[in-house]
Amino acid sequence: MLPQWRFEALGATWQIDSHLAPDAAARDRLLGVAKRFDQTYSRFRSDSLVSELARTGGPLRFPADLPRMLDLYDLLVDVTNGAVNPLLGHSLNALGYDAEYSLRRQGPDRPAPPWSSLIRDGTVVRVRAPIPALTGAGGHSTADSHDEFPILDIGALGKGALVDHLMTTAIDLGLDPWCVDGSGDLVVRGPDPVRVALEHPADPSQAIGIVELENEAIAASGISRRQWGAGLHHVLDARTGMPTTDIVATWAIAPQAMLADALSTALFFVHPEALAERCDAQFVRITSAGRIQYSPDLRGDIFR
Amino acid sequence: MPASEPHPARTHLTRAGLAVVVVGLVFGVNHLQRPGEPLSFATPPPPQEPVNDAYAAYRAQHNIAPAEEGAHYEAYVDGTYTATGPYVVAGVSNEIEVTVTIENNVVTHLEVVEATDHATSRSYQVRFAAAIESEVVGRSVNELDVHRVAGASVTSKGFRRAMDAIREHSRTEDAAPVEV
Repeated sequence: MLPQWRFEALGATWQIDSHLAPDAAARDRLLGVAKRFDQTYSRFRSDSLVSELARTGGPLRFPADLPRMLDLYDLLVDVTNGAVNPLLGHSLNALGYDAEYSLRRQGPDRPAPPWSSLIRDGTVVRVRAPIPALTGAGGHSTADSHDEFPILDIGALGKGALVDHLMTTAIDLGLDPWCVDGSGDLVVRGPDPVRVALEHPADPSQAIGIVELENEAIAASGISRRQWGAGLHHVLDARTGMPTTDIVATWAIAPQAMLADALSTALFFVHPEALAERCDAQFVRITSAGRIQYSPDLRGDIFR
Repeated sequence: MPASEPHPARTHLTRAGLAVVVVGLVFGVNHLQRPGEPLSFATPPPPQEPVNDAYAAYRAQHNIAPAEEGAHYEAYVDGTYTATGPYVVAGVSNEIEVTVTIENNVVTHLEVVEATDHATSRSYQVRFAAAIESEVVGRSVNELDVHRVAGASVTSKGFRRAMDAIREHSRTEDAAPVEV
């Protein structure tokens, strides 16, 4: 059997499959990539760069991978009419998806500030003037309110970006990797197609179909397994700050994991055909009515 | 995949089909609505090949033949029509309001407004409005020849721990329900 190596990152279990087993130095370098990513972008860590941005408003210099992610967010914000917007950190916190994982509603729904509040110059980022904090009845500030900076949350594509980083690093290390799997979001490489089951959103022991990947990535997104109250989950419409209701699970297949990850989130808000016009990707999604939609050219088998 | 221009004949075909179906909905809504009886679109059609024609499922259920190319529909007067369709699902009354604009026997604008907060009914309406390809069918992952599984079931440890804490908390006396 080919070497498999598992490790923890971003609070989940990851696995790298390669033709050569990573030695200690290679493992250290791969773990370093994951650790730096977490230290930079985790809004759950008070010592992360995005937490500092939320406290100070910047300007702060980010690693070289940020511009590509923000460019992709430009596309996401545009194609979803603002439903996807990475400045929704406060919206998530309001629903209890916060650093403490309180999972208790902390206040009313909060729309995200406009995407244009984030100002970029290469890798240097700052956020425009503080946004008003929670207000009381009639729109007046409550006594204990204070202005806050928007919180950048790259959750819609961050995991996919790290999948791509680790694949690139493993190739650099000469491991000849064929799969990097970040707990469900994965990229495959090599001459042989890789068969991937699409997990049933209501029952992880079941699959609703199989797709074949060849030098491409798939990302899954779902709301059914990460709910902390009726209708409370982590896929929010940034325009309202409220969780979505019409779609329960999505998959996107694209050349890179970051793009697949981003599209799997966008699929909660726009019809697959609208996305297909903008990028080279394939889609599967399940509605709250238990119906399944998928790309006509999907390489695989949706069970029926 | 690259966007492609719809074939003119196909567009014509689709529009003609749309006209038949939607006008059928508008003018046929009264005889469809028998008090206490759910509309038949609550029952999904048998699975079929993926279709782009959003009304194929509706046509299939109501035995409406797809329009043939070149067919003429001279009975329709240009204008904007609105009809409300009350129906009952699981003992709960619901309404959809359909507004259609017809020009030269072609539907040029269609709007369906849902007027229900009932979750189950809403599901049926979403199902109807989207006319999706098929029902979800699950098969045991263990019986499949696959290398990997892609899904959202693997949640982070922090999340699982917090959920455990909430379950524990919810059993105590000071349990505070999560408001929605």
